[in-house]
Amino acid sequence: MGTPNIILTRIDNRLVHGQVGVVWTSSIGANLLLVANDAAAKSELQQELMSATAETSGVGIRFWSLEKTATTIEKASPRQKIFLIVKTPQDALNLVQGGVPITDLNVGNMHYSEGKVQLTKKVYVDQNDKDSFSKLVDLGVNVYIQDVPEERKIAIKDVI
Amino acid sequence: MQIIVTGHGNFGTGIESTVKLLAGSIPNVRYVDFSADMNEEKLAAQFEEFLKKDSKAVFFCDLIGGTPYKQAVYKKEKYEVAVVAGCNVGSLLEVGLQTDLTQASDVHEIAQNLIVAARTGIQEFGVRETQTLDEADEDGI
Repeated sequence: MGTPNIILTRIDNRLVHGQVGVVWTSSIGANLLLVANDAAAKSELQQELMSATAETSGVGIRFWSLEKTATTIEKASPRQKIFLIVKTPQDALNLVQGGVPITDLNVGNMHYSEGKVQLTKKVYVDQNDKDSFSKLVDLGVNVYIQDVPEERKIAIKDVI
Repeated sequence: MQIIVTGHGNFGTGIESTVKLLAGSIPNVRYVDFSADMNEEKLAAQFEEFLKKDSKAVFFCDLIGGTPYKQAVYKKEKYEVAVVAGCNVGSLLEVGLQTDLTQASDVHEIAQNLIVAARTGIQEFGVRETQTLDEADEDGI
């Protein structure tokens, strides 16, 4: 029990894919990917696909519902360097409100869907997303857009 | 130290475009094409140019025994060089991003790391020899 060693939290609508599983995982030195997503926690195919990426990178992977993440993440061992991945700003907010100690939040891919407006090349938002980001910022989370590690960070509050 | 990605046609710059999309770039990795209009002297001269600036290099080649591979091996006479072939883009990303190549000193160690990562990255979906990783550790989650 204690504070889990979350080295990065990222919003990515593709969850674990090549860029997340290889590029980010390698760059930040994580050894455990924690996918906090209710649909993925129930989908064997999604889990198998994302496990293949994790296995290749030599890291562990878990697929937990948001609720399980909020209640169980504190059991992590200090040597587990956790890379937490969520799909949406709403899910990130849900975790923070549930007590998960997220201090920094990397906004990666939020691709276009109907009714969303563009903030950057890879990030599109609707009002609901903006509201969630504002609440996260109000809760003291450092929220920034950054697609790849070498790119400069853009503070979310400067663009919404 | 540097990694020089080289092969026939656009193997080098092709891998570069993949790296660019996924990671932006990897520090100290160069890409050299052996294109149809080049002879081996010209390829060797391009290798020489990179090696003059940094005498340690791992050559990441497309094929064992091809011209880029052979020209890379010839550079062993003058420089500290290791040559691998058949490694994949996943291994380049993994090793290139996990290692600070500017500080690394053992070319053979980097070469072996590439080979290990490349082998791990070869598999058929759904057919696996290793156990599933979604199991809680004895200590932790």
